[in-house]
Amino acid sequence: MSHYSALSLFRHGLTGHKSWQPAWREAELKKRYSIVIVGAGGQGLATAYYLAKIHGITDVAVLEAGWLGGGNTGRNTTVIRSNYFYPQSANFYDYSVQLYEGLSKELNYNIMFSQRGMMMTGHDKHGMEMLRRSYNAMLLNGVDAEMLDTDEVQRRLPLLDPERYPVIGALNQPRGGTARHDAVAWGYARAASKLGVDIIQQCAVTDFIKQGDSIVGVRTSKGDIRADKVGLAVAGHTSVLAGFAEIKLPISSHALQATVSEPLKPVLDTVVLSSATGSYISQSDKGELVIGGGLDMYPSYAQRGNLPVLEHTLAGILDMFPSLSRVRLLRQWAGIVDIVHDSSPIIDRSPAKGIYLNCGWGTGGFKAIPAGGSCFAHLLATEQAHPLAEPFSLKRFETGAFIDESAAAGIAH
Amino acid sequence: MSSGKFRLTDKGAVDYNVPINFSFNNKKYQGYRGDTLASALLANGVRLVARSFKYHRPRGIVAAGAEEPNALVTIGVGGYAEPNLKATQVELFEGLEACSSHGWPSLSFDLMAVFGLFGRFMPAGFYYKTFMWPNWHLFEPLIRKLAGLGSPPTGKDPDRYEHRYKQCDVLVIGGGLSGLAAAAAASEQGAEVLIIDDKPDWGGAAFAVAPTIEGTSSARLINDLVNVLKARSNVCMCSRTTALGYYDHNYVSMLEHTDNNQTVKACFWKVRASRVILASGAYERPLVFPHNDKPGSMLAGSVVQYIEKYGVLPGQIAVVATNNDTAYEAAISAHKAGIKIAAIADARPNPSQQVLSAMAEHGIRVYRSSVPTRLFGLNCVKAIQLSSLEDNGKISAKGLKIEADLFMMSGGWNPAVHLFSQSGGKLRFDEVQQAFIPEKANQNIICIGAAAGQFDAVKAFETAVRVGGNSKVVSALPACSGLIVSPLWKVSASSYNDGKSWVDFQNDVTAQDIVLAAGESFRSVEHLKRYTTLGMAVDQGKTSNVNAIGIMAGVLGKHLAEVGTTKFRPPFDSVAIGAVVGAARGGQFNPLRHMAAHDLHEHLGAFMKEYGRWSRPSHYPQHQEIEQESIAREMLAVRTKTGVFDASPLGKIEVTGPDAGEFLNRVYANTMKTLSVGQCRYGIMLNENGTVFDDGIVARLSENHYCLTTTSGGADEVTAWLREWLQGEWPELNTLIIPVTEQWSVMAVMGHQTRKLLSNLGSTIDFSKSAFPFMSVREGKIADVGVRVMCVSFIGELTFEIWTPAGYVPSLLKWLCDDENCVTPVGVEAVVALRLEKGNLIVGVDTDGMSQPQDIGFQDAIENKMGDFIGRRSLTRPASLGSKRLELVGLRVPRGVEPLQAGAHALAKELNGDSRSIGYVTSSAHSPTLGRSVALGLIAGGRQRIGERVTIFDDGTLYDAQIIAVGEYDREGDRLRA
Amino acid sequence: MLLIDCPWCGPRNEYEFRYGGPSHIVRPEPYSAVSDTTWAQYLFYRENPKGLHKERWCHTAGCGQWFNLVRNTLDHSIVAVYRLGEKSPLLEKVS
Repeated sequence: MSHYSALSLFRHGLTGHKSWQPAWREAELKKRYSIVIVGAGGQGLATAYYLAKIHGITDVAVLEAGWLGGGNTGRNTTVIRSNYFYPQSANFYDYSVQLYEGLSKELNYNIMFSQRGMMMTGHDKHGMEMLRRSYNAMLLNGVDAEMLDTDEVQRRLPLLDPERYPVIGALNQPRGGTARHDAVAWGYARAASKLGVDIIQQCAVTDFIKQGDSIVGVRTSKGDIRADKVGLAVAGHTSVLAGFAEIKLPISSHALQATVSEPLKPVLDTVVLSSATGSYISQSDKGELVIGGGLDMYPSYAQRGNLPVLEHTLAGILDMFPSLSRVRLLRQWAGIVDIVHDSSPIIDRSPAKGIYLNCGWGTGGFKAIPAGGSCFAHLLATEQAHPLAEPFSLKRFETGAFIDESAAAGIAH
Repeated sequence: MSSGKFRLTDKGAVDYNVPINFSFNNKKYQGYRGDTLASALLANGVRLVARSFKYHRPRGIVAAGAEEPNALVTIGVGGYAEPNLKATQVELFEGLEACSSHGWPSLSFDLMAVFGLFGRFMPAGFYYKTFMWPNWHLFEPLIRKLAGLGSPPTGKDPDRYEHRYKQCDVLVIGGGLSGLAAAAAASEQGAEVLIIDDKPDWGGAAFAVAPTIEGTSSARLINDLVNVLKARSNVCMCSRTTALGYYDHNYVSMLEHTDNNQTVKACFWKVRASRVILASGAYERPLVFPHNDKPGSMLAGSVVQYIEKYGVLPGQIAVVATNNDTAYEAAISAHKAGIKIAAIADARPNPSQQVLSAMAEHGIRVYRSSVPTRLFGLNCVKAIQLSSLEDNGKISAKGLKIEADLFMMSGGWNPAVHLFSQSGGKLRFDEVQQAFIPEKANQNIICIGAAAGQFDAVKAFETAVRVGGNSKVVSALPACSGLIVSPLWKVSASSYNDGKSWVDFQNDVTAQDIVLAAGESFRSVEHLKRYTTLGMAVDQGKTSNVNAIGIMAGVLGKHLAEVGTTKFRPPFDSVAIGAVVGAARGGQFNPLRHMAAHDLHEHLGAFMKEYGRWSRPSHYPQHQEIEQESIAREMLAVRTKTGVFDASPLGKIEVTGPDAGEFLNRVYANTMKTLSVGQCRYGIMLNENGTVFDDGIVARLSENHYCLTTTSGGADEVTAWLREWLQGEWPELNTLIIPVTEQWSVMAVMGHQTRKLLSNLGSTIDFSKSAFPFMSVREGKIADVGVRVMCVSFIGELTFEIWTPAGYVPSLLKWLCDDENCVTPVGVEAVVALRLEKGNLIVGVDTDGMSQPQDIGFQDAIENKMGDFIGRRSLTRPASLGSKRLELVGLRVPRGVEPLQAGAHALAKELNGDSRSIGYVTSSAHSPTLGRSVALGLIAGGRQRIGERVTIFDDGTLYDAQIIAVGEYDREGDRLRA
Repeated sequence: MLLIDCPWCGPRNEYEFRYGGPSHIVRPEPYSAVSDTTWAQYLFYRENPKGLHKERWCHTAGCGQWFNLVRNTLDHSIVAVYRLGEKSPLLEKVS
């Protein structure tokens, strides 16, 4: 497989870029694997990569019904951050940010992690007190954080000119930022494939193969595949797959939408989330404004956005940045996210023997890809929960030991 | 100043009597009313209008509508600036100032074009392979600066946008011949019809591509149809209107541009149509071959539009290249208008005899099995190289170079199926037309005309009439016909050095990039799009997507249908954020609610602030008081004299019926069954997860009549919640729920002398201590107006909450604050601090989304309660029973020390010990009554630790505090029973 | 933007309604005899189907009544609306 560098790019340039090798192998599907992972999104591919890299398990297939990285990994607003309240969340997500910080070099693939800061604005006294609560929690959790006053927010956001919701301060995580979402999937796919993992696209799982009370494989559109363990990393579609094994999960699938503008010269240097309206915005390196907001409230598997939510989200953005009024939107789309009660993930065995779960990411799975993948790989390889993932079990729905960030911080995560 | 030497005065729909002055890149030009910026520029001989995104290549106008990939301009300056408009869509107006969106220092001399020289080292996705060492942060700032098309406006948008809503029986999208005919037929039947078109006038491309329909000129037909429709009262015609998004249940968003003299810049429509007829036409495809991107390289059909519609000749000598018959019609049109057609290159070996003889008739030379292999020229086409296509599909080495200043190309047509696809409709690839056409609808939509692949004008017209007039037609799509296209997705370059063949002009994606992507695993259309950025530009790939799919299919040796299309997403055309937001700006965005006595509060000097969507008095500064002084004065007035607080935003719900008591007992966590008539009780509500989510007072007015209050922000939520339980879970309970928040206003009169004061109110209520004890409710009248009064307390002082019908509350407030009674008006901030002195919590401030009743001192009330209530079972889960739960406690700091910061955390151990958080300060304020600060906090196992010292952490600094029981003021409650 | 046919008021835009979760969820009772597992199933575990979904909505900006509807989560088409207490129509699973 070609090594990527400025030099290799130059060399290939001289010969017309004809000899670049495929980023990942067109793998021949085998009849059995030690581990089959369903879903070649960021989580599934990262899991496969860490299984091979850390645990030396390469007899792994990643099955994808569509094209790899085409689910929520390729539809989200690419925000990476670890500004969490509870130590359990902070430890997990900050580990993810740390892995992201070294990921381009590790994968030899430029994922363009741009640490431009993640700013949450405060608009009234109570809002600022809640941000303060989060700020102190972040400091105690060992996560970088700074409180900004009005002037500093204005200095960093020259376009800011709110009318309805004046900004009186903000909580910023300097290490937060964005990355090129597709590149994360492609980089993991390339690296996993290089280590021997088979990535099979256009391969839809239609059922499980059962033996006694165990699951011993999957039935797919490309035939039956035996496996010792089956890991599900299919976000909003987890319930559908779990349904094949007659298990119900504490998940509801909803559309989360995003929209993107035409590319503009740099106008916004950081990721901004308005805690008053829930709207958030960043500017990509290409110049597009990437805008997101709240969930569509009813369950959906239709990967498209609704108009009322878009209108509200955009109204929130224009209140902060009125000069963007004449900027044009190019696309509106949605991903199907797996919402659980406390918005924290589930990385655990399922009630069906042989099936393992990586789900419950809700609106924030992208930033957790490296940590989610490595913890899920740990579970699949060792049968033990990774220490960072221990709190994220199914058990909590019975015990009530939730890790509910929005409950404590008043901010939806 | 040029008057336009490329102008034909005998053609076109522009008004030559109305010249219009405009400027482009600071140079002055003239056009006419009816011109677009693109037509006016072409008429002035301006060929170079833009630079491409990546390589800054010189580019000209390619198309005549929404599909234009190149001609992006910025219109206006400052707050009026609009970047990245397509010149083909900009209507000319007097004084228009336009400039190219890209190009530095100038359009004709763009230094960034140097990137073109390094193009070979910057193939698709090159950035994924480099810029990793030492790190991305080093390279990113420069790349950010180089990227981006156009700058956003500076300052506030001076324009207004509106939203409009409409319901109709039939929505016809597209006002070409098919659309007009369908609208006429539908309205004939009496249907309410809305017909829209994105152009300022009607007729679409018909009069350009099909001059006559069975002997009648299409211009005449269009005119007649428009007159018929205009005369019908059940028809609404909206020109300059583009359908953008197709949502659930036939809900379509559209944008109507007003012309430039209107106060409203654009109108965003939301239309619910029983039936949608999509007559949006088709977009022509460019041909892909080396150097195909020179200014002067245009779509053949668009050239005809410029000639026929605007009377503009985009060149003088043209070469035509095609793989279908439509370009011949274009050639004839151009020829008749005076453009010399130097040659027609047809990729097909055997074009139909019909077109060949027509060309012979006009003396136009046709080269069969010929394809363009190169365009020459720098900032404009100078010559075209044609080569013959051999039987094996190879290009012969020998080429023929023909001088011309215009290149007209047609690679076939793509029906504009975007909205059909958005609606959930399925597409199929048609082999005859080499295009994706509608197959199966999923909503009530039907495509007609070119949008359905119907290129035969006569058949299209017939189908339109039939479809329009038949309200039963749901998804039976008419068969397509009238166009036979020979596949020609790419003219193979014989070597890499032949030069780039552009597919996506705007984002500079080439055929070579597609080959590279395929070789590097990016073979699915979505991967291709994301890896190369193809189709992601402002035009959203209207001219490039299908060509790219064709090229990818060729590389993979697959059928186009197997490669598939990307999902069509809204909006169909780019739309300003301001238009989508409409009037929801400033005070119209999440509008604030005003209380009945709003004006009077302002008169009393209130400083108004937002509290949960209500505009409420924060405090009433007097003389030169700062906020803190004002709050302290108001607090002391309540503690020593009398204060009045407008509590009208309290949620108020009436619960009536024989089972109302039983219902409330199940809804509240504490017992409500034992409440007797005339009594009040504080209650908390849990959700099923056991979390405290609202609190308030329940008052029993009579045997079957209760009234309860909720938090100000929770009224709607609680109402829906109560109804869900009553209607869904306990329909056997005979109970009625009526929200009355807006009907009643509430004045809370607070202070130990209140009884005496209110006895002068002139009401029928006896305010004496024996007749009206603490926690009771009375009904009565003040001057014939029915009122309710509750003796309750939130702030720890004797309080009467007087409920009056909303309209009467100003007179009550006036009476209280008049010179005789001198009651002090008290704002929200003082009340919040007063209740903190007393230790009363605010749900959502002093509780969080995990707090359960046992955490806030309700463990006994729960234990003593018989029977089930909402959330009860959740209180016995393991996590509810632990001793480490966050419990509400008081936090005391020594006298003279500043109040703790709300949001500060408590640490597990003493100074320098364990720095884990064990909770946090939820509320904190200075208490003028107690002469020191008071605070509440949620602390792990807090109640067990009362009396202990705790270290408080804020922003890196540590503070000392003592955990105490909740409530510091009047712990015995003597003040309440005054 | 859904068009919801309120059984009491007729068809209205989605704006006027509030979604209230899946319908026909049976509340386990008596609370003292319900296990943690059963309670968790009742509170959180859902069918979450890709296809027809029976759910509760309230016409909050209208009559204030809760009612049931069957909606296809794949394309959001509404195939049945019925009042609380009425039996749900028998429908085939779609996915």
